[in-house]
Amino acid sequence: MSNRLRASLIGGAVIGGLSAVTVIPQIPFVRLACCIWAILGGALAAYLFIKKSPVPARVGDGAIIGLLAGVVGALIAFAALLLVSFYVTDRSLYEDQIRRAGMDPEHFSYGLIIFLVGVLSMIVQIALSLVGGIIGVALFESRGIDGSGTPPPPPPPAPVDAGPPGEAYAPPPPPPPP
Amino acid sequence: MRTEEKRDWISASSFSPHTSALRTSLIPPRSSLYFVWSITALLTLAFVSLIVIAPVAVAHGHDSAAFVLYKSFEKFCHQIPERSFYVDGHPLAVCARCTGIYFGFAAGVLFYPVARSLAQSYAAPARKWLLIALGPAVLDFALDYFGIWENTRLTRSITGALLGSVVAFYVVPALLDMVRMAPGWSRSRETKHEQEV
Repeated sequence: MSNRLRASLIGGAVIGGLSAVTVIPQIPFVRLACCIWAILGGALAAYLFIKKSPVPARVGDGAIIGLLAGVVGALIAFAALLLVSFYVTDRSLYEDQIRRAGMDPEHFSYGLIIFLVGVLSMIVQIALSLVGGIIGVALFESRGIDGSGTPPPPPPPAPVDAGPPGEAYAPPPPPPPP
Repeated sequence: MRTEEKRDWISASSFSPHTSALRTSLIPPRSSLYFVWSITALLTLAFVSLIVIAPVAVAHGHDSAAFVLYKSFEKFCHQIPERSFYVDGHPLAVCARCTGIYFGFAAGVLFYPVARSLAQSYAAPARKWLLIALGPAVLDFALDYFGIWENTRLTRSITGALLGSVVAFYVVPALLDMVRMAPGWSRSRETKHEQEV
């Protein structure tokens, strides 16, 4: 397993595990951390990648690792949301929420709403994890230039007129005296 | 005379094919960079518009759409109405601080090419800028938390916007770097190292 995949899986598992807890309405204090789980998971994946990487990580590496970790975490959280919504949570809780918001629960399809909420949450989670991976490289990679790991490419070489092939090299004439 | 000069340049570059190949592999065309930036800007704008669409949808009777939006953002924000901005008499889908972060990020992405050339964006800024941008938001939160000073929606959104706009300057170079790392442009450094080993 490559270093990138390993770091992404661990980061994704952390995101998924902590986000899965937030879908349980009986555990409110975890929700206080809001979007921090996804960002922290992406940063953790970037940190793990940097620790094992023999070469300095680039910011692009951070983006890829954060993206992969986000996908893994979002899939876990989506599965948890479906399980909790259909097998654990009482639907009347949702209907109460809809009524409190001044809406009519008769006009709502419970399954469709859960699915759409899950998909939208997945997209946000992946985006936040991507940002977390990038921030992780910027914070933890100290071997490269400004966290990018890669110096800018060299400027294009100046054209050199080496003279006709086969001819011996002659140094340029000295500059004329002032 | 001009034709001869051009011919000289072409013949000289043909003597260093490895350098030319390296150069082309590291620098994707400018149009690709602008394409990546455009997609990023569009997605970011679409995302922040969802935050505003939620209260507008409630106000116009689209209850299902509004509920899905509020419920989706619930996982990422506490959505306390007293700490949120209002549109059409209903709170936005996220609190004032999150609104500042997301809109600041969108502004940072949109104005990125004005502040920095996309073609020259090889590296993210130094980490100190991120920490400096984080400072006001942490201070605003801490002063309020310890009861020293009561923050407002405006201070929360402004400090959040500062953080979000600075984060954009880390995200855009990273996405451009992803394009440079794509197989068509250059192989990843890790793969190169593994091959060398």
